[in-house]
Amino acid sequence: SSSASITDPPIFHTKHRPGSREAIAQLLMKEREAEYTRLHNYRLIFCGTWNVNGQPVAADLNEWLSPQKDDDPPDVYVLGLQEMDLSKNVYIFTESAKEDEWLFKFQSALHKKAHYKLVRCVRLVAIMLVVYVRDSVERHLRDICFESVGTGFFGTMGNKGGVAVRFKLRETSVCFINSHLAAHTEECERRNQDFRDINTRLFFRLKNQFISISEHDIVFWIGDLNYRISDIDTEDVKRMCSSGAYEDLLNFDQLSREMILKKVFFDFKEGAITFPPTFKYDPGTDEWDSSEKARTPAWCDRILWRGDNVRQICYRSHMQLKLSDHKPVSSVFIIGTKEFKREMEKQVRESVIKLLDQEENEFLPQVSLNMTDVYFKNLKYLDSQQQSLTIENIGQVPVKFKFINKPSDAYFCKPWLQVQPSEGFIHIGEKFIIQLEVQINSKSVPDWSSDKIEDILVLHLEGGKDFFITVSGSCLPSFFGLPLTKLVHMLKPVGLNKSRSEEPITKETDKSLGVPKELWFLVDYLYQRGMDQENLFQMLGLESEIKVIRDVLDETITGLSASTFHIHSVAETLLIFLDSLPTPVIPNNFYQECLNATSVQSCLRVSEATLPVAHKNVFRYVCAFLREYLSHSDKNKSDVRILGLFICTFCLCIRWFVYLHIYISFFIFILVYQLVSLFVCSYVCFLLKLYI
Amino acid sequence: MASAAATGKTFQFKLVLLGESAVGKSSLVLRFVKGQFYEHQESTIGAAFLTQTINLDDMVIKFEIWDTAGQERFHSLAPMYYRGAQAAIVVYDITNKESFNRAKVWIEELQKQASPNIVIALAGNKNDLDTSRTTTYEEGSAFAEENNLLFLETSAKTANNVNEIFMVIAKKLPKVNPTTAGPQRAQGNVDLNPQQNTQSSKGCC
Repeated sequence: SSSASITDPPIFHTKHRPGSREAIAQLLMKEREAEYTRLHNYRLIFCGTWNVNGQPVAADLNEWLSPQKDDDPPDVYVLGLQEMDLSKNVYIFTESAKEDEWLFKFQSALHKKAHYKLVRCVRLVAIMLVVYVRDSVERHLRDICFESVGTGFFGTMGNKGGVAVRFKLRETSVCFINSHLAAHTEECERRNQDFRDINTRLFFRLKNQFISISEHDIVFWIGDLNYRISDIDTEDVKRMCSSGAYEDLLNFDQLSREMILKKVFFDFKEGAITFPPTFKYDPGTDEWDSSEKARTPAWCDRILWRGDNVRQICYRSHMQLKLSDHKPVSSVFIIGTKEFKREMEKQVRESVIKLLDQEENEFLPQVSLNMTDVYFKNLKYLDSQQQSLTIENIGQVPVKFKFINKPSDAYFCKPWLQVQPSEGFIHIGEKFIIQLEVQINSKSVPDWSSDKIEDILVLHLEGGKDFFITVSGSCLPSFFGLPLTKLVHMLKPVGLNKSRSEEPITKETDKSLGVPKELWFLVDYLYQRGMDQENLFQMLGLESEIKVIRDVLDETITGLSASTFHIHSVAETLLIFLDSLPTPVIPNNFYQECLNATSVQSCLRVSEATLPVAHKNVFRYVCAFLREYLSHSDKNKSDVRILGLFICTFCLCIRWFVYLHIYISFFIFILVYQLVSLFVCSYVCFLLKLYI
Repeated sequence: MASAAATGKTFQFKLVLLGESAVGKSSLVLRFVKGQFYEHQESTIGAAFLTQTINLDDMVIKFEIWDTAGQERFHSLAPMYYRGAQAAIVVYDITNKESFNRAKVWIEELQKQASPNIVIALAGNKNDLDTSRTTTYEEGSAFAEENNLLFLETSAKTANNVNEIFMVIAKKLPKVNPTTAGPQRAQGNVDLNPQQNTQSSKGCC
């Protein structure tokens, strides 16, 4: 099932991104804001912009900021200056003496019917934005931030760019931007780009959040936007200005054109312009630029806004202020501020959370399994069986799954079980097949004494539930893996007992065999046909033959002599048998006694005294056989040392995990392993020589 | 800018359900999370996972619910789920005495093995089957009192006390570590001091 279509996880699947759930909740709340919001507390916002051309602060600003006809004092003043300081110093030093002078001038020209406090003054080189708030409104302001972005030389310098202040007025977020965009008639596209740059690069940092301009309920954008009047003769412009034909003239205004083409200030609105172009005058006069350049008049200085519940009350220029080559512009707005109805908000929030819970649970990973109980029947020693488990993704998200460890287990499954693969990824609606293989041998099942095996696998879906899969099996009886002490009491083939657990309980006094009959059959076969065979025990047999030999020994009394097998298959079966013994021929507890013994002779005495009868017999029997084999060394070229090393490894059944328990440390184990194997090897060799 | 700030912080808790097979653990969860009930709810082979959020006063409590398999053969796997849990509901069936005894064993295990601060609730489920009751309310309540457990008799079928048991747990859980703090409000502390924040051009050349 690899023909997968990549599906994006749904946005609502938020378990692993706890922060994003909150963000989504906020988004949904925002969508339903109307249900719990009421508008009231209408506020007056005064926006003013003026390019002062670096002129000294001289004029009386009352005419601009609090003209006689403005009866009601504004609640918020937003004042933007451009070119407030044209000295070179302003690029190098953060301080500008003019800043304080302007602030002082502003302060004294604010509406007399109210008291104001400075909220923020932000300056980027010569672009300055000042916000004042009326005393009585101050307490409704919060989350005040400011930021600036330069778009001038090299795209970042502050000779051009924008400065901004934002805050929340009750529940309404408001952002003010004062910008000075690229100059010159032909740079219209550059101005559009400056606008886009400010939008994409300007972010307010509020605690851990970043807020972009577009995220605000209301945005006021003021400044010397520098859009010109083009494609018309300068003299025609001046004539139209003197006749007041501003509506016609606006057809040639670059900003109006670009906005209609939706190339800039998308979503923004601008009031009707009923005042003459604010640029370019001879300073100190109302006369159009009389210099050599004779600039075409233009509405460079503008005030635009975006958002709901905003009404423009006036939009005007102030001809009386003559110190610059621009005239100041101002506009008064009335905005409705939002307030939340707490009870309603709580209800909406509860339903939003309910929806999110529902989504979250719906988008949890879901799979179905073709079975949760996997049963393997009639397992035999050396055999392996396979079954496959099918996992189908029936949920609405891609699933990542993994088998995980159970408490206090180092691995997720028992050694006799192999699970392939143990983790994976399933696309929606697709199936995944997992192979389970059971293999029974001395390594996978060290204690082969029960006729049942069982394990529980925990299949974990990432970000979701767990499944418990029970893997069990029943085992057919076999002489492999049974203790010697039991085998010698079994007169009939093991397989003829009904089950392994129902072995006849025999007493010591009962009739017993000297060595297990299976061992005798194996050794007899080798004795009859393999005495002259070179490299006996050093070559691998055939797997299929070994299984046949196993079955013959398990199920018949006839032995092996009736059939013909490769001699190496029989030899390997003998080794596997020795290896499968739960207690090795020389039991583990015997090693220490060997080490304690002062000589080989005393060791022998200990072994005579302490080894169980069956073990002693088997050991002697195997040694006797090897002695016989060695006696044919002229033909089979056997070597006592190789044979001794080889046989003793299997007689001792050196199993590392036994030592891990006893000695805990692996390093100690290595040491002991070397000591014991070397010692006992030479010991076995010695014994062999003695017997010979 | 959002309004989510209106309510307070979100607290996330891991809650595990334990109890004998077929006492109604999954049914309780399903009733609580989805408001559904199935007469023949399938046996849980594994550990089901669901989330549910509740509002408590000004807080948002989010439960991550692990509904475990009740069958005895899976007993050894239970620590995987109660380990790290801040809350546990041990469920028994009021019509099955053996399940009440099993619940006592679960509680003993939790008190020994689970986190020491775990909030444990004992739920005597199926209280709609009052006529075939084998464990009295008093027995359950007395055991709960002795062991300092929250106790309610519930019915996933009739929805009796289902939301309530999660609610009493939510109330008792210590609210110290908000996992996801909602946006906090700077209430009335706006600093309006005239700061003459000036910024010069960034990056000199």
